[in-house]
Amino acid sequence: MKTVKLSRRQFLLAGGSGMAAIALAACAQPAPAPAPAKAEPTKAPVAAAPTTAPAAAPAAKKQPDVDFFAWGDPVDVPAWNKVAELYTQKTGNKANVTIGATGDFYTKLQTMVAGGTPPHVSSFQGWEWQVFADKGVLVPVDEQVKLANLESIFIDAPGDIAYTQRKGKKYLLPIEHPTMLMFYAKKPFQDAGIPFPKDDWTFDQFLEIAQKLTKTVEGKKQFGYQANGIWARDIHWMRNTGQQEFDVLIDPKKSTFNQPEIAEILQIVASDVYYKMKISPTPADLEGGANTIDTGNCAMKYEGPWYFVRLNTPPLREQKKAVEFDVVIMPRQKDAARPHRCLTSGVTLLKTDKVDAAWAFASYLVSYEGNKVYSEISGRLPNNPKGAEQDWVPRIKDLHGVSNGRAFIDAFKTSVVDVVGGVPRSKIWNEAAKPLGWDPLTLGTAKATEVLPKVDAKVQELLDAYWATQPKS
Amino acid sequence: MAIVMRRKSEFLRQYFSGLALEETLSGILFAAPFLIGFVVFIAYPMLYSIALVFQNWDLLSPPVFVGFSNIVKVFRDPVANLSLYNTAYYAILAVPIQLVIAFLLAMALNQPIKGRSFYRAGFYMPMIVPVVASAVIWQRVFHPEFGLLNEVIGWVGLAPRKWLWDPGLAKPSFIFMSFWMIGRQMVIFIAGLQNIPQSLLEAASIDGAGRLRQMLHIIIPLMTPIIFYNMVMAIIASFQIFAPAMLMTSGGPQNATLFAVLNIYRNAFEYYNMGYASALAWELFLIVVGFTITQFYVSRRWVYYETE
Repeated sequence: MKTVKLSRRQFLLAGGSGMAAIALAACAQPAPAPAPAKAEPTKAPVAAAPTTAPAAAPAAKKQPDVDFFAWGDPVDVPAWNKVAELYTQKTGNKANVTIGATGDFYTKLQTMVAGGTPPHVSSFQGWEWQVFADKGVLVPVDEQVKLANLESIFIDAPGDIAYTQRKGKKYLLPIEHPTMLMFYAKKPFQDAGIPFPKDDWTFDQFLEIAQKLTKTVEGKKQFGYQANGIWARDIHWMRNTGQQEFDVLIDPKKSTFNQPEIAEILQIVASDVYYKMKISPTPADLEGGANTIDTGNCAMKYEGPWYFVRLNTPPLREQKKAVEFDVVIMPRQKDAARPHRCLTSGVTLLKTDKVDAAWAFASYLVSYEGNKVYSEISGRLPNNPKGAEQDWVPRIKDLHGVSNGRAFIDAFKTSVVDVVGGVPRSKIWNEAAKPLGWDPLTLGTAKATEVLPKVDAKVQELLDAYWATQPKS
Repeated sequence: MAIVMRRKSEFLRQYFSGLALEETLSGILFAAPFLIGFVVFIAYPMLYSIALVFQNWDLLSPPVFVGFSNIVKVFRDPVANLSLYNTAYYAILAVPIQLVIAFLLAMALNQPIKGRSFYRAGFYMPMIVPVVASAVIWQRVFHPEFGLLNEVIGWVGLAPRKWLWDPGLAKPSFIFMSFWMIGRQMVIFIAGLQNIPQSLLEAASIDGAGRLRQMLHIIIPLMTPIIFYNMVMAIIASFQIFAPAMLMTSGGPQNATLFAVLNIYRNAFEYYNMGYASALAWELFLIVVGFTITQFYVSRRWVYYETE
């Protein structure tokens, strides 16, 4: 047998050629880019269960595999994987779950779209998908929803409508309907002999309680309230004055931050709570996780259901690290309707060549059966009121000791949208609200009446710049 | 004309035949992985970004030609100008101090002291710590209530500061933090110091030069190429500061740590304005290139090369 000896040079040459070939192959055109799907809705292949049904299996029609780009909050990851696994068991079809880290989720999604390889289904927060819909990247699902009898997952509340529909068409299939309420740790109240707050409490009572609960116990600071110090979290306080920061909350054209009512409430919740009343740790004090409700140093905090797992779970109770807590409707301010912020999130279908398969998976995900599993694992509020009342409220009582879980459902009925429009919320925050408004307020270096005209002017500039690029209607 | 053509064709025939051709092909193939990577991941994106400067592109819809409007916006945008000011402030103050500390450390660790290798490794260690971990450590150092820095300044009777949460102290805090990353400069300085001929120092010593004179008239002049190299690299790196500001302050408070690259990142990947972000990136690139060329030009007056 003839042996072929390679010289060192030939070996290196062959290696170099191989590397070059691999590099070229890696740069090759990706798998066929999904063709833009037909604009008309596709026929719904899956009849998802009505929300009252105990379980429902999607029609077992063979579908191609779909890619699901899933929101990567740690509480969600096992839930997505479990629901995808159940979907495969039920139907024989497959959904490949790709977890996107929450920090740059939309950057990755947008890059996937730009690269011609969008996922077939993607998670979305209720206020983020509208730009994608306006650019024609998403598929409206009205007809599929109707055919699949899934209409009950859409709640007739102003916030939910704004976060699931755009220009009269449904895009977001909601997977949860959370609101945010006041969380309170029970121990500080019990130690101070103060009764727990009730749903009919007022803003003045809230401040009074927070002041009573602020003290130093055995050399350790105890605060009555853990303020958030950011615009998104202060929206609740502003809206409950009866005023809002924009002329309209969907596609605003005018900034209206600078109003006496808003200035008055912001002065209190974004500055005085730190420096005048001293009932909250400052943002600097909060850094590194110290002085929070989680550590038992703060008595009250404005939060959502995703926060349960940080305070009280069976393992935390076993380790004696649990913070016994409950929730209460936010205190009453001037607006008698007491609007609460809506934070609906869900999934959308992207325009690809697998819209039917994408719908088959997405409809299972939001069906009673799929959503029940998702909610049980993630702890999130289900996407339908009955599922929330029958399953979730008793469950959070058992798991987290929350007695007033119904308050989340009640608050959602008057839910409002933060703001949806062409100027990203992050841009409003980074370029106007934070540097000109919240930073000086939370540092205690300026008054609300001084900063709000500047915030208003800058936000107006951003809105004007956006509208100048839009075709005149 | 005919002669020229004939010579040219002979040259080409010789060049592209036999051994010469084989060697040329081998060379190209050996370099191919790098060349392909460079073209695909660096050269092409850079060239493409020039085209993007004249367009608006949100990644979701096709780019729209907008002429010079992104370039005009670069000069008029107060946020962009502020980010450049912050970056320049950081680079101008951080780099000289970094160089002085790294040089002094290198001098100290070039002496025959006990545990020298241990100290060298220790000072280099932060270079291999992930940026995220560094950021977490430094957030703890700067913590206004429990931070190490406030603890230390408290020993000399100074009041605690808010460091990263004070617009006036945030940039100086970042400069202070940058001293943690001088390991690479220190190692290069040590290598340079070890190349200084002992005979020169001995001769100077015999002539009566003390340590200071040796330092000023022998060591520093001979080290100028190394100092120059470290300075160029440090200035380029300082202009590119991004991760600590992104992780620790998000550009705040009151945009005090909004550095140029963070502003580019936000425009590209938070506001999805690729065209404007490209214009900002090219502005920064030209500033860094201009700065580097100026340094090379000025270096003729103070950098001493033995071969000259």
